[in-house]
Amino acid sequence: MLQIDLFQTVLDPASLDIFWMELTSGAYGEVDRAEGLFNLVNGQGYGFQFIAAEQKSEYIEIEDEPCLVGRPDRPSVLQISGQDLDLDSIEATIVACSLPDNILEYHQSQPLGNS
Amino acid sequence: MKLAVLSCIHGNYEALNAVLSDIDQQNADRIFCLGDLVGYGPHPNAVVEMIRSLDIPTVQGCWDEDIVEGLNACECSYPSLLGEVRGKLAHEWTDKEIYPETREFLANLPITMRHDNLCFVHGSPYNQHEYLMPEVAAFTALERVISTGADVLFCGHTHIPYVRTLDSGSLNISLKSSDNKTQPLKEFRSPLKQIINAGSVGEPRHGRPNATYVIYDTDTQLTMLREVEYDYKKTCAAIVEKGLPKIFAWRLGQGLEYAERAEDPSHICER
Repeated sequence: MLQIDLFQTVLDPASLDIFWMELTSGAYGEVDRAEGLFNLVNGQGYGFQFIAAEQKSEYIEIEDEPCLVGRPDRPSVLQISGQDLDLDSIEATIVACSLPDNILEYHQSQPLGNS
Repeated sequence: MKLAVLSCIHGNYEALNAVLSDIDQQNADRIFCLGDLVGYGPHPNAVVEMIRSLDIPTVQGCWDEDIVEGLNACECSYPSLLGEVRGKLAHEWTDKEIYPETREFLANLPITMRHDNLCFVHGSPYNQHEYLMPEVAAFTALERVISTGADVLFCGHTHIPYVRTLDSGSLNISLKSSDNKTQPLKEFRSPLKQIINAGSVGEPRHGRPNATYVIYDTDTQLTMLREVEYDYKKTCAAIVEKGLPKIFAWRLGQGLEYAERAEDPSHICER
């Protein structure tokens, strides 16, 4: 199993949507199962799960106080099991999906609902 | 007269070759190209050389403009951080790859072309970066066609071919003078107009890797959307071989476009 620690990583939702579609469609190797705990720019945490045998993804919002200032301290991780997984490409794509400090600060400075 | 209109080749030489062969088989009299000759794909110089050697009238696309002017589009080019990273990677690679004569050719392309009652643009008559999505408001769509003075507006940029007929264009205007007298309502009616999107030769977004273009018959005003199979795996191999991101090859094989574009049909580019 491949595991990537995403502690304090905050992801752009539109980018995560693309990455998850690519990951579960085989762009980075054959995925049997993928599970992710992700922090998004709205401060909320989300759980993603994909099981190839069931050919579907499920998403849940983590019931937790949203992190509206700085980076969240809740656990964040991506676990993938499968064959011929391209770890370098997966990691590079996650980096490209991640908000740098200046963009995160910009979003967090906006009135709620506007970011 | 049968016209072949193609767009958005994006450095995909294999796809362009296949489309040109198909155009031959369709006995088209003339070919027009709506730009985006370069960007994302592995053969920008070869594509430009082919278009130039065949003397195909071509307008400048957004990627062609970016290679000449640099990246300065508004957010419509990058609806996500990931799309932005990938777009910039593709831009930098293409910028290093192209020959000076390729850049010069792209710099000298016109923004619009006219042929009788037909107008050819890349995105919209106002901007190579503006998307004329099939769902765009009818008023906006009609205004874009009328602004050209043509009856049929050919565009690309969305990478999905479509034909939109605007057959009941009407504008109601009421004027109020300074003495507060309201003039009678006036109605202006527009004759039938069409927007025809040629899709994409080299970077499809319709869920299959096949190239698309259109054949338009000026005598019958009928449009035929063509979908052409080609050896896309050769392009995928060249993408990897030339050092472009592997994900571009995967997305091309899925007919997913190399990077996603904005989904908001109401967005008006602010470039």
